[in-house]
Amino acid sequence: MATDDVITEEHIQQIRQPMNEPPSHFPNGPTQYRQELINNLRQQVQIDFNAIENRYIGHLYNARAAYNATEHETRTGEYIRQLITERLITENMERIAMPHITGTTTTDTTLFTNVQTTPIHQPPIMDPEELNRLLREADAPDVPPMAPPTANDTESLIAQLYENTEAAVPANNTRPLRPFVIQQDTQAAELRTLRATYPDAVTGRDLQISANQALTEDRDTIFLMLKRINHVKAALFMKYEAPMKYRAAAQEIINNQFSSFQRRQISDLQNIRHHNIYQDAVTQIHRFREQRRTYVEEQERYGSQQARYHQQTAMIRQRPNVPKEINLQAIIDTVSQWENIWGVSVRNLEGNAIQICIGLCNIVMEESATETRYTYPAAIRLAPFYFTINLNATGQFVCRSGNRNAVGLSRNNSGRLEYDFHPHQLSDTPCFGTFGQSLIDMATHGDMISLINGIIAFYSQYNSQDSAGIAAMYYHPASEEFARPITPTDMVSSYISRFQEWRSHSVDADKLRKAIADYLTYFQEEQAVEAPTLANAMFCANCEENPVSDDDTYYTPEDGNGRVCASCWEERYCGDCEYHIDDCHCEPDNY
Amino acid sequence: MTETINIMRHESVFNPTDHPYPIHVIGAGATGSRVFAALVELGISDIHVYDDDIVEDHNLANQIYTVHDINQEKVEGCRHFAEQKLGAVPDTMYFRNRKVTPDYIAAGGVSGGVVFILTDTMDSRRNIFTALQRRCIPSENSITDSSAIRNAPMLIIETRMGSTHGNIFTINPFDSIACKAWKETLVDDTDEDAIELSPCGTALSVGTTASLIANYAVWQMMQFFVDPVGLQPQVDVFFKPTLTITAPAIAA
Repeated sequence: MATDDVITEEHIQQIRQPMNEPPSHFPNGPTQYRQELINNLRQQVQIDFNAIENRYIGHLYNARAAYNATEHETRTGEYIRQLITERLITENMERIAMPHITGTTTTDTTLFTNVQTTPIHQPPIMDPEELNRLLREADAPDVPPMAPPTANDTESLIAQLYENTEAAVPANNTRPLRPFVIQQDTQAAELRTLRATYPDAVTGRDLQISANQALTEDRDTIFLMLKRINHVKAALFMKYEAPMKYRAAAQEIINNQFSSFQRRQISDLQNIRHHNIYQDAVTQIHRFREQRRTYVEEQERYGSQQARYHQQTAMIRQRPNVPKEINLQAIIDTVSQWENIWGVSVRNLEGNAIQICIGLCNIVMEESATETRYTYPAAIRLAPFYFTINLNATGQFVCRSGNRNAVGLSRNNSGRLEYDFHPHQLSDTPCFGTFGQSLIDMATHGDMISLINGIIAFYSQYNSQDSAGIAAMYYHPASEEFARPITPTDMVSSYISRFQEWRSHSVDADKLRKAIADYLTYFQEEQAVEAPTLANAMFCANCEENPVSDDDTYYTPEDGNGRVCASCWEERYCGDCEYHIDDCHCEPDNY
Repeated sequence: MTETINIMRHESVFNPTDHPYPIHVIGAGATGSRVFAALVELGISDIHVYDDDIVEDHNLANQIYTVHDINQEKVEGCRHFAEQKLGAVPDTMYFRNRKVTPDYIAAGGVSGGVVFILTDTMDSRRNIFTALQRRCIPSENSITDSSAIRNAPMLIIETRMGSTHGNIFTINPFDSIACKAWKETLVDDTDEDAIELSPCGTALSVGTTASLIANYAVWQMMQFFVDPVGLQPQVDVFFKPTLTITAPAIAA
């Protein structure tokens, strides 16, 4: 490295001197621009530390500067970086056409025509009316919600969708994927089936051991009780039968063996059979005999079945998994042809796993509860979205939420693209509910087409009786809880760019645009439809939050003041008089 | 050269690919060597043979070995048989020149599958059986704890043979009552009334008897896989006169 590139003490002294700027009596634009440029340059400097040579090397455009740290360097790394930065800036200031400060405002913009710098940050110049509107909203305690879209809004949004379509059309990529083989792990499903063919007693306690072994704890308890009885008997004997000269010693032994309470008990008894420990022991022995009899009966009835069950479990557990190669290209080719699919993207992951991203459109959630909790079983359309399946070589799959994995039109966040686009799409992974086991079985068999179909079916429904599904009504376009849609071109570009990231994908951009346009139209038209609400919804008279309809657990207070939920009843109501604790009608305790 | 056998003649009766479990043959003597031969002919390739003995000339009369195997390890004789039968020995066949002891089992040997105990002493039968049965005892979690049950034997077949008769015991090692009943059938090795001896003091052994007992034992295994409902835990076979007695439970 050239010597003149290394920062020396002379350079340090130079840097410490203030820059020679002509005094400016007018803190005007050029001065501010210059400072801004200098700040930008500082951010452009890149400094690396070579640990082998113990050297700091900085770069700014084509300039280099280095600092050789000594073995016993006293300057901190941060300080050294600052030195290098200032050195580089000082050198580069000669290359950049800084505005000449004359004390007057310069309007000569040609100074900056050839400068390769980052744009100077300036706050956006706002329309005063817009600014006033924002200020009013910030001051107003109740900001009115955004108005629902009108037909004109919708037409304009749809028109935006089809602008610059050429740039947004991706080329479908058909680079070959690595073969993916899963070891079909069907043990869990087989074990469940096996378990269902045997009575419950087979999977309860171990029936292959003797009755005494099975009831060891009870036997030990009885032995302890008998031991205690013998102690008491010995104490009684000593108390009543010991010769007078030994009574004192006998009493001392009794005092050491028994507590004062036990001594009083013993002293009151003439016969051990009247002692409560004797009664308890007898009860325990009877109980043990009954347990033993029951165990022997159960062993005779279910012992051989249990042995057979264990044997069959061993056969299932020891059966090797059957490998199955999954044709990933066939998945893309097949699924991409489905009516409600706008895109499929697949990639291989490290550690022999795959990810499959499926883009869905025109999905309508139908009520799946046999009895809806809503005023009517609304069919609610979802905006186009996508979800991702992660599948590993043992057939385990996970379908995470979270951005970039499952993304659609957010209900909560001002029309952003996030994971809360479906009532059953919860915070970590979707709650598949009753679908879950079937999907797991499909995945362990490597039946990907069925798995994707199953997940689509999951998204095509909601269950208003479910604690999560009850929120489906908020996804209706006319619901006040639903955040308004975003700019649809953002949805298109965001989705397509996401799918293009992986090596093999198939995207139908036209279908996606049409689906978004259809959704926008649907969204606007549904404003005229009444959103579903909870039918006969009743809420707790105390907290006004928990439902207390006929299907819920509730209590009726004595004063007839509506219905009270179970948690409020326990905390805030008297169980005796059934009034609120503040109005309790019970007699005081010291009455 | 091939490592597999054409099973089309018996595939509909027993298809080994439907039952991909290891088969352990402990003892490669009269019964053991013939059990091994039967397993190979059935098309089973995951076979583990254990014996620490060598082939002697008097073994040729009742065991599968040939004159070329004399003074070789018995497990090597089994390997030669497989090689001659199949053309090449599959990688999944293991020939272990060793005695199976409780320590070996405790260290993880003889893991899973079906186990044929075909040793020559009652004592060794008892010790091997007891060691294998320990794997079938519930752990702190449960018997179906997958890590333990993967190594437990799912079936144990044990045979005994005289010159004109034999017994085949088929035991579910998870069934404590069956295990206890089987142990009570074991006699003392020093009981002279229980062992037939030739005039020169060695145990009597007839090749045809061994062949029948061995194949009956293999049939018990097949029955277990194909139709366990009809499986008889104890089969007593007599050839002079001919009589076969089965029992739904092992009787001491």
